[in-house]
Amino acid sequence: MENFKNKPIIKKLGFNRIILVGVLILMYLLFCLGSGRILGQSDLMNVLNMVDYLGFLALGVTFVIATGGIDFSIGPVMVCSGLIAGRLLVTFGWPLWLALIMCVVVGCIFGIFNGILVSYMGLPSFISSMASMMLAKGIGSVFTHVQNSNWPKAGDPNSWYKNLISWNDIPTGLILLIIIAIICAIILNRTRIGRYILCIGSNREAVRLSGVDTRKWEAVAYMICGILAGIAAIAYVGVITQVQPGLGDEFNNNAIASCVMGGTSMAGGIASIGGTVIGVFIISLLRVGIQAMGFRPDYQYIITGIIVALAVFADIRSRARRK
Amino acid sequence: MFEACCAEEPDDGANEYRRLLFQKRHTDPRDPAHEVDYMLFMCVNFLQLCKSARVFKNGARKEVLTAMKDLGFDRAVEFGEAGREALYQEIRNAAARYFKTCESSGYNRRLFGLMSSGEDNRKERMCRDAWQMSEGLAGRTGLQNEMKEWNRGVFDAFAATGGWAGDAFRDYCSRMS
Repeated sequence: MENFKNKPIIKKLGFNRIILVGVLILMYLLFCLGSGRILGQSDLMNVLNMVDYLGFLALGVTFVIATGGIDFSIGPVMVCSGLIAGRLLVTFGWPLWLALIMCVVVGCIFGIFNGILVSYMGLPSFISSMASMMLAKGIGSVFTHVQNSNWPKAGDPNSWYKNLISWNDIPTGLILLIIIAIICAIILNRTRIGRYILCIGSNREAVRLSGVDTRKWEAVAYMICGILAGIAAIAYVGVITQVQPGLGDEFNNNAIASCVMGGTSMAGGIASIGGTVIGVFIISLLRVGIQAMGFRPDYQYIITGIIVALAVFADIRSRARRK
Repeated sequence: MFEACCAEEPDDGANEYRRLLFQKRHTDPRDPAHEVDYMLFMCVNFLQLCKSARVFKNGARKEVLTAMKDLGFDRAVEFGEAGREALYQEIRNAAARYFKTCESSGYNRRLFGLMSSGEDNRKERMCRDAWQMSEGLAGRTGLQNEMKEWNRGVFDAFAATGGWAGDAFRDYCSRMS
């Protein structure tokens, strides 16, 4: 095993990532066996639809977890962005392109708000993001008068935004996700912003004493997370069309679980964008696979919860053994 | 303060180099009033480089060499043995400052900053940090010779943090090799 791990190609790709891809393939085969049929194009399209918006959320929260913090508001912020932009589009007659930009702007505002609470006001990220979660749910509900936000359906002249998710059976959403993931990987591993974010997660006090404005860079991590939650909202409305107020909690858990499963350390300082993307695929396949096996939705939550807990536990144990 | 210290001791020929090291370490070229410690940042940065060096060996190698050159490490040879000693003391001082920050409450947090680990975990993590920023990075980038002084300074600073540290570091090194 050690010889295999030390092979240059394995080192380049990352042993953990190879294991995760193996788990993904194994899961697919298990779900095929369990459901008694090959999971076909429609199942895989369901996986990809979920991967699209969950992927952007998970990419965003990777930056925050890398600083040693957490953001539990990403799901509700995504839903809130979809609700506000949807109402501006449908009720106030804003042009579609402006409504899509508004999704990102709303996400960004929440990101900046979280950043200010955590970095400049010194609130624990756990508490401040809980507060933002409530705020996002509340603002979304108040703005829409607790009504669903209905985005234009396929066939509507204003439905070109759906091409961002799927166009002539080409998974454009996945392509967009991969492009954004590459940009995130470059930011995290190849730029000053990323280096500061990782260093803050590693040893905040040392970074502060060396003259780096840790508050600013930590706030930037939250802002990036907010922007990506806004982009996730575009993907979400592209898939779901009808956005309901008060939702979003379960997306937090799935996005955070994807990150941790992908190798991002819960203590901060270590983050893997590639691992996060694979983690998102695992979580999405898990949801769709359990559904394909015929379990009722309530059982789906139980099974997903157990598997996610086991996966994260296995990850923590393997890290402890490596230490 | 630096000048006062220099005036107190007889010049062994390396004061000019000490001044240069001090200046490069503590002066922000864009804003001289801004308090910085580039050598302390080098400690944290080398931790990250050690992690990325597994995949991007050449990039990490280049970055280490640039960082050492920017802080005047390459000038030590011009001042002979006294220059080498001055460089070693500067590195040791920066590393000691790094290990001092490990006593802060924020260092030992886990689970999204919610929980704090025990003392054993802190020691284990400090040991890992010491290895990653010195021997680990040097081994992964193939810069054992270039980082000799750096590694010596980091080890001595770490060993000075407690009686347990020296043995723990050696034990960690043998496990990692």
